[in-house]
Amino acid sequence: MKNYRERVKKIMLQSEYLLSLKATAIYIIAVIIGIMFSLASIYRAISFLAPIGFIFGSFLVLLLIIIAGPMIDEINEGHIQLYLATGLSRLEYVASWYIVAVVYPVLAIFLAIVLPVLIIDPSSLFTRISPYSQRLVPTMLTFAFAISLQLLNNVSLGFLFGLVRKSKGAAYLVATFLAFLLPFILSVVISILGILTGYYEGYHAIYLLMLPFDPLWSYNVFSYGPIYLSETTILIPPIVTTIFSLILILNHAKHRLEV
Amino acid sequence: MDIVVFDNVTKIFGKSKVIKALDNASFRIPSKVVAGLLGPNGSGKTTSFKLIMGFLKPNSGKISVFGKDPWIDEYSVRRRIGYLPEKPVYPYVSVYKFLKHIGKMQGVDIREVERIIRLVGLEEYKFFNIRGLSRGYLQRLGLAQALIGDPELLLLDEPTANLDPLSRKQILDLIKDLKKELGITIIIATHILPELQEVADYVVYINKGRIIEAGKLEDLTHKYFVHTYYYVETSDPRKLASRIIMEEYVRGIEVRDNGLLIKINSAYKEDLLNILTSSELSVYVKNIKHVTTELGELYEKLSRAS
Repeated sequence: MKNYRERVKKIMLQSEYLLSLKATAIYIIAVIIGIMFSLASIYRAISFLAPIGFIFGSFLVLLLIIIAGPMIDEINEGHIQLYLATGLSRLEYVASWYIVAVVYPVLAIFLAIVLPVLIIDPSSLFTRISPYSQRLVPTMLTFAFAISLQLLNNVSLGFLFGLVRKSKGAAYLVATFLAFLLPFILSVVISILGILTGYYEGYHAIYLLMLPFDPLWSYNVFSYGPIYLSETTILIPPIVTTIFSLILILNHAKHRLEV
Repeated sequence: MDIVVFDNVTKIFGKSKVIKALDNASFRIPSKVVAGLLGPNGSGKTTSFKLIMGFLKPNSGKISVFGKDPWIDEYSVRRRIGYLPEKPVYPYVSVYKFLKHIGKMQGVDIREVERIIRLVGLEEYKFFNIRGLSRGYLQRLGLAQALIGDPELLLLDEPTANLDPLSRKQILDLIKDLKKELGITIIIATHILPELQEVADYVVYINKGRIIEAGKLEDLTHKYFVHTYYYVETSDPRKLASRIIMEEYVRGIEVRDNGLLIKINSAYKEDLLNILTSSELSVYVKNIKHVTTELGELYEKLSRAS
């Protein structure tokens, strides 16, 4: 138990140190989002944020994976050796970076969305963010959870691939693929199949592949049409894949990461 | 007791183009020695250090550091080691912030960090950004971070490489002080031999990943008949010097403090000892001590042997 506590303390100390070096980007993102949602809440213009949120989420994935990039540099350039030499284990080192590059920014973004709305107009949290189409968009709170989980899942996957390949390029590629290319490719595939067969609805299930990677987009797709999924159901796949990615990240750090 | 034990260790890098960095390497480093890990560039010295630190996993063989496997028990092994990498890369922070963080991670009091900053002569540069330090001061910083946490084993990878002569001497003096004051085990990987000669008492010679020789410097000296130095403490240095110089195997004599530093070929060790303990000279001789060996010569002979 003492050992476990000591490990957690070391991870937090290292995260705190890394954060003091890399925090600017995270603070800037959080402040911008905070201001956006405060203004939207004051002027009752939350509905405008819905479409922005969809695009914004994809760009944030790229931005966060860029924050994680220096970890790969540290491993490749040997910087990591200085930290490991202090008695930090490989797992603790990677966990510290995961907290700094993934957990803290996602938490900051979640709070930047929720806190201003909670202070200015708490009821907005539980109302649907677009007055025009009640079924197409979730409540404000679900929106915040969805965008956070989307970031958590996609950045975790980018982080995993970057770590395993020891390549920033691999991390950026995975993040770009999940944020931009996958939805585009699936839409093109479904359209081509639909054109060829004249039967569009039958291929709707292919969009289920997007569930773990883009819950916001999934609200659009699965709140109408042949497959209907509830708000909560849509949030489960990204949670599962995030946990799975995290297990793989920590397992790789403990058993395979050579520096 | 042996602090580091390599038992038939092989480490391979690459998949398509395979490089054997270590090839069935076996050696032991006893505690409380200053060991020189010698060998040409690319011989496997840094890989050996990384294996000792648990940064790399051996493909085969067994490594034991303080009786534990450094890859598995990485935390308990590394917290007892101070490590100065060959080319350390530091963050863009001040010397103080960096060392304070290392101290925190080791659970070391801030006063201890301050003491080490003074010990390595960095107090003037405490609040300088690390990236602004010269090579010599960067090495001091490397030594400082390695010394935090009272290590029992110090690994120094090319500690004097690329330094100007003055910085080189300062770093070497620092290592000598560490040896004298702390009495810890130190392993120095280098190919700059004259300096190591002044501090090392144990040698591991490695070439192309293979261990060619490992043992006490004195034993290897005798095995390869290289020139060696003895310090003879005496009540009458001049009298003793005038007598010893007549022996034809004596290559040099220097009066130092209350004694003589005598250079001979180790093949004549017994002859020297016989004459010093003879009834004629034994009255002047207080103590005889092996000081060091011409490491350059030993290195050359080991290179030829490999």
